[in-house]
Amino acid sequence: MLVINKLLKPNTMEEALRLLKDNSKAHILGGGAFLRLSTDLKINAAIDLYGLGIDKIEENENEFIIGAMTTLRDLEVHKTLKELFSKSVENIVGVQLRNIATIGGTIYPRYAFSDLITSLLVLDATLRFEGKEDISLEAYLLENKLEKCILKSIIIRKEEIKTSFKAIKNSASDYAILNAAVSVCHGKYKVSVGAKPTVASLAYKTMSFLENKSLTLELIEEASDMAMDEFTFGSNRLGSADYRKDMCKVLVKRALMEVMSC
Amino acid sequence: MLIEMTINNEVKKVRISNSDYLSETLRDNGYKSVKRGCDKSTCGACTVLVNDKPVLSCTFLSSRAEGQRITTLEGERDQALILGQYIIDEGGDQCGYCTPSLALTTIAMKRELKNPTEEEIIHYINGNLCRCSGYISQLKGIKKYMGVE
Repeated sequence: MLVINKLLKPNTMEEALRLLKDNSKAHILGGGAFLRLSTDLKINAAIDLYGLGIDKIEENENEFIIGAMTTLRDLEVHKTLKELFSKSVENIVGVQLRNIATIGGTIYPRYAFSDLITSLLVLDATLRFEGKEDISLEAYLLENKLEKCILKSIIIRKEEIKTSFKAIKNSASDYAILNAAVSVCHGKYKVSVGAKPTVASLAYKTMSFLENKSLTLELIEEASDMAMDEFTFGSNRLGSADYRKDMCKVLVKRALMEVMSC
Repeated sequence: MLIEMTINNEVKKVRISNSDYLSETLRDNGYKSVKRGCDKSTCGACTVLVNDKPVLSCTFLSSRAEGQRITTLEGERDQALILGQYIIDEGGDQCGYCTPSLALTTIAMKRELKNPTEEEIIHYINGNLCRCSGYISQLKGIKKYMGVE
């Protein structure tokens, strides 16, 4: 059963930040889908970001600025961004949940099972928090202790980029047993692997090995071998560490092959 | 707290608590087409439209409905009758528990997608689980309603 003792509904981002300073232990409500992940949740204070106007995708000459409350469905059907994201969001439950769950609500808690975070990592996404300096998603995921703050938007640079996302699941709408994404932009490769079952991270050695090289089948084979040795995998109810390691090679290989054929 | 929302084109004042979900609020106010299924964001039986978009009312806090336009199947009687007849003609209506939510999702889909393929239709409605029909007859009826061969 859900209990929210105090529900705070700010009208502006500044007010939201002020409320967070006054209620440092408050939960921040993004899409709110996480509330259903727990059967018994008691929240003393919650700050609801719904209705603050940060649910739009804007763009300028150089970048897309995705409001933190943009729903996964809006990403899935956006005329340009769908090329980058549809594969990592389109199978999350159904349209009805994707109209609720948000990009910010996925990134801020650093959900380890997230397909979207894995995709965003290879796009060099930048996070913009209210009242703080911008930080890369990569750095945010590596931070040990997170200070409570309010995510305002996610910035994606407009670049000539090829991407691929792959995941292995027991059924299409289940959590991934493992997922992987690859991008290449001006000879620079990015390879990320998530649901290990820990949160997504980049395969730095593999990326450096591939830099400025033209992909061949032999190179892809070598790179995918390298990627599976780069991470520490764990076991949970979805799969064992050994299985994940083997699948890492397969997914990275398939993603690289897809990028090669683009 | 007392909030105001538009339900099926009627402005209503509704008393809620901070922790109420929209499915409970709507059912408590007489909108019984909204079913409680899994209460876990999975089955789709609680689907309603918020500003014309299908959402799971079991996962949508009632407080967020303030000032919004909510549509339940009671507000889409005409379309529901047309769609319902197509589904009945195909033998796709069985226990009926999931039918209101499937109908509402389909009505939203018809307004959102122009000339969808069968694959796009299946993708749009795959958040509505049905334990008795096997989906094939429902899909046949929905395709006819959508004007898709």
